[in-house]
Amino acid sequence: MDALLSIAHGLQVALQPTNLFFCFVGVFVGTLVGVLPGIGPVGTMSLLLPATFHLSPVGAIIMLAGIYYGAQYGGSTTSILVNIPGEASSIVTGLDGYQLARQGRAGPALGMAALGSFAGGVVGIGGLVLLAAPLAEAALSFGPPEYFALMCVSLVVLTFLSQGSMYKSLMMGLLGLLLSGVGLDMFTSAPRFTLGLDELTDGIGLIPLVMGLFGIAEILVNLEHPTTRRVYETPLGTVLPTAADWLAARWAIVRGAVIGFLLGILPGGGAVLSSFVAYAVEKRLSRHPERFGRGAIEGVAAPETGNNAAAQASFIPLLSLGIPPNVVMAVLFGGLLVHGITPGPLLIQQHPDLFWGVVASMLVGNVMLLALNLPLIGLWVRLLRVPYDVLFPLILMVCVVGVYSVNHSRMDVYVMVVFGLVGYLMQKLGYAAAPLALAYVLGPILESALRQSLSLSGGSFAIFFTRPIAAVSLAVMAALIVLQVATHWRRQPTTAPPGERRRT
Amino acid sequence: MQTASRLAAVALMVVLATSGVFPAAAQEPFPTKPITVWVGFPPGGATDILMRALAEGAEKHLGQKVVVVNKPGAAGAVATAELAKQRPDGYTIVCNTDTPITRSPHLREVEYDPFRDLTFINRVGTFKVVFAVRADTPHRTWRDLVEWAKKNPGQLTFGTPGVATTPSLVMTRIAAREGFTFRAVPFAGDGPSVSALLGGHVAVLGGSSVAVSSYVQAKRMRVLLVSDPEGLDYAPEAVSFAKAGYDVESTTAVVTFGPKGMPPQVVARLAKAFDEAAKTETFLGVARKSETTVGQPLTGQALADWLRKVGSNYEQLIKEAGLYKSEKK
Repeated sequence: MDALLSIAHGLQVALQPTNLFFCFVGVFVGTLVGVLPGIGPVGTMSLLLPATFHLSPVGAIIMLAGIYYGAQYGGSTTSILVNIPGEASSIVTGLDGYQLARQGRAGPALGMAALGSFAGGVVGIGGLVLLAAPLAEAALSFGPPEYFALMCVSLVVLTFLSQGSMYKSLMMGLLGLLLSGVGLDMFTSAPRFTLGLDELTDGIGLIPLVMGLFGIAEILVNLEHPTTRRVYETPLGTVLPTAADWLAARWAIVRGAVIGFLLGILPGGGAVLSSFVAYAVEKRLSRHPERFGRGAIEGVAAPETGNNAAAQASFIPLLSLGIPPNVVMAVLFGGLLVHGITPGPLLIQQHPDLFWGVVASMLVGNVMLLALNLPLIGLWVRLLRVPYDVLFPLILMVCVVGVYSVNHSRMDVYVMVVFGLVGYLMQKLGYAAAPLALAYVLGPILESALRQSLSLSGGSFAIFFTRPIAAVSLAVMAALIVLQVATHWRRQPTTAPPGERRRT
Repeated sequence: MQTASRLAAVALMVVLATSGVFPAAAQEPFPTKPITVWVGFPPGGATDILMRALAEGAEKHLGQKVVVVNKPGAAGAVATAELAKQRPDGYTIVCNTDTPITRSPHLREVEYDPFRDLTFINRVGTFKVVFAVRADTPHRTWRDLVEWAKKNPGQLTFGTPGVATTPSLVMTRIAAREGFTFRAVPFAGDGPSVSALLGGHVAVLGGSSVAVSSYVQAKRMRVLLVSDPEGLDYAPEAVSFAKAGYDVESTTAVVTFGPKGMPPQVVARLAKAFDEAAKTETFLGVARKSETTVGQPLTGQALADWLRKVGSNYEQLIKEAGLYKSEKK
């Protein structure tokens, strides 16, 4: 009841004309930077931060927050249309979304992405209103051992993504983990595999890696086959998902929202993790898992719902505890500081206008985003009619500018080109890029959590089995592996997969 | 006819100016175009927001735009190495913590020599380092904690914002002096280590004052020890390093600098503008909120001398912690 009164008060704040305006500016800019590959919400928000110095704190935070969740809507667009993820959290969306686009169903795929994002956003905000404080406290019980166990489970779940050869997926996952080892060792500060370059001391950038593997590689592959153009000349179909699509995707949306919300609360978890876990769960539960990767609409609905629910949930640690769970939230943290507000456990009590106003504005903003994105779909789909010899140089240019703009680093552009060539070879030889990119995201968390845990325990591995959350997670992992191996054996009774052992 | 001759005159001036025959053009008061400041850290951090607030104020005094661009990487070393290759005209400068100058060169090989390749402009401020525990821990004072650690060798878990950061290096020296051992757990910055302390995964943390102040006010944490001799207004029970008997002069400072060979008048002009900007209400508000000690400006050669002193102090601490670059090979 309290929560309802407060959100009503928040709506009063959010519906003031100036705040409505800032909300619209935020979500509109967010959609744009989401669509443009490489140019992400972090850079945009920091660029606009000084411009908010003279705004009211509520208006400023409403606008900056709108950029973040607006980008979650836009990020899937290029992923579906041309298989270039606008954000890392849209990598998985492209697996089925791009296939749908090739079948002339780009419209329904984009429509499902927008509606799924909306559903995820609403669930995320609902959770934020009702459960913010208790959940933020619960998330604190995740220490290094729990993170390690969670990452182990995630890596096993990652193998569910594979289409085709399981071994090839495992190899790519391992390669992703190895690549994530580049950079300064977090315990000794010694450079590892940096080739003596300062630019590599923080590791290979995620954005150039992803844009290379997916974007540049896709361009190269398409240049080979002038015939693929014909695919896009087929009728583009209706813009909205059909009734059959809805029927197929309804549970994916529900599950995606819950998974996204829960993973989004964890500091360090967030949108990327929830997008692929939601996808993997759908594939696992589906009666026709073979449809995934060939244009299953659930494969678009689940990750898009998941990543937006996570985007909303990631406000919980910041607004209720003052802990920024990711870089975007760190920028918002800075934004609050600039306006004389220290984010912390007292924020909700001391600044109720700000907290409830911002939360309510997210609800308003999600409605705006839906209204903004559905009509845009027609425009995006028409983009596919642009001849490839015009479209490709344009995409290439946007990729280069986008990657450079993130850190203003030439090295990032070189990295993108190198991984573009790697990604091209991988496609030719039938290795999927998604497990590599996702393992690359998980690798550093896995390594630091393992080493932090062993520091805490003085070197004893018992720490992973004596703490309940960690022990249960590891048990779940073991069960998943047994299940996978059993299914594998039933199909091929003679050969056991030795590759699974390294996950234990 | 008149226009033609005027055009000719302009053309002549352009030629002379660009060929360097016409020195008056080069002596036009600095700055004549926007100044770019690279911040060697990601957006949203204390260094970034301090510089952005400072840039806003400095624009009024310089009469030119001051554009802040984030070039994060290797705790500021990427921006520093890139800067060393720029033209020393004052239009491209860096704002960093002192880490790439006083620490990184001792930890690993870097692509620049901090005291040969750079011109130091001014010190924007210094961060306070604090050591905090959860509010419900039995240790009431820093002394209590030290005594407990001595009785329970190797049992004290200590969260740091990263290896070779100020808090982690200082703790190594304090432990050596007091005669206790502990388990250091480095996290990726203040945020994760604050979470770990609140969740009870580590017993004590060392970090920046801004990271813990809100938890102290909410009675979730207590600060036992602070670097600043003045103490902390939000945690009067915290003892300073000096009072605790530790003569470690270690801080993290935010400084601005340019490539080597910057003209002295350009350095002075920039230092003056930043100094004036540091008096504006916007900047002071940000400094207060980010728990940054400001109002002790240090410029030019004085700043270089101070950094040299801090650097040799850190060299010693890094050697004591066993992290010196030559020991890793």
